[in-house]
Amino acid sequence: MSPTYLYCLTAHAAPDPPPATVGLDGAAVRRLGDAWVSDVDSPSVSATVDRIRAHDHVVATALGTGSTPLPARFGQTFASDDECVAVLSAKQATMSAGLARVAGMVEMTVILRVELDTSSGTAYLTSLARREHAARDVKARLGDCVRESAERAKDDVVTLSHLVDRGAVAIYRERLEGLEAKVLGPRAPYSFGPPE
Amino acid sequence: MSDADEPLILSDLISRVLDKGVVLSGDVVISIADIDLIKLELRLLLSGIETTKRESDVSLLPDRARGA
Repeated sequence: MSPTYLYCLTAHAAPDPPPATVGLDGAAVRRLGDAWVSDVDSPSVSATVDRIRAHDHVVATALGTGSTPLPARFGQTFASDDECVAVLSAKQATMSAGLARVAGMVEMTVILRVELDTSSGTAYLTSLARREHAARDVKARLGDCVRESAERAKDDVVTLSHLVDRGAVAIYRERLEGLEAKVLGPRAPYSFGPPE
Repeated sequence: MSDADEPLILSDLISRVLDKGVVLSGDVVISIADIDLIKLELRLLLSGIETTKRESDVSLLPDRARGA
């Protein structure tokens, strides 16, 4: 029996995967309870760019059905469908809370690039302040069209993730017009899982 | 989206799919070697872009500057 690979969890009333949905290594994606899964050859899945893209494609397909899924982190396999169902049942309350948190929402992402100047201590602090200011500017522009937000800064790149109502995506984009940044989305809410 | 943004978008995709999302099983199997593999692929992509850029810069130089 092949191991079962998990892509995402969906609301109970969410549609099934469209028939031609393909996951890791070309495997057919199917519904198992409230999860989207496929078979995989091995319980240990190596991360390659192609497989990462395939995982994300399945999650994006789930989002495209109109019902917002909870994306699973890459690389989760179970010995069998039964084991996957057992783990899901054990965590059902947490997962339901997670799905309720993101219902009707999508994740939007703003990527800012602010060069960090390491030529001197003062220059470095000034560029850090510039980076902070850029992030604050995004927050001020977006105002009330964001439900929740998460921020991550690494080197010259600041990634701002926002949970936004599906109906507010156009307003979100409008408010960021003219900003020197990459705006990505709508995508599934990877950054907003079940409440801790 | 321009080609210049590809590495940024790929890097965002990789960190999102590998580092975020719900963890159910508690034993997400991604070995260090695999992460190194992804870094390597990223490096290759980036160095590919650098090479292309250098080549296009060089082709703009007059012949003598290229040592011809």
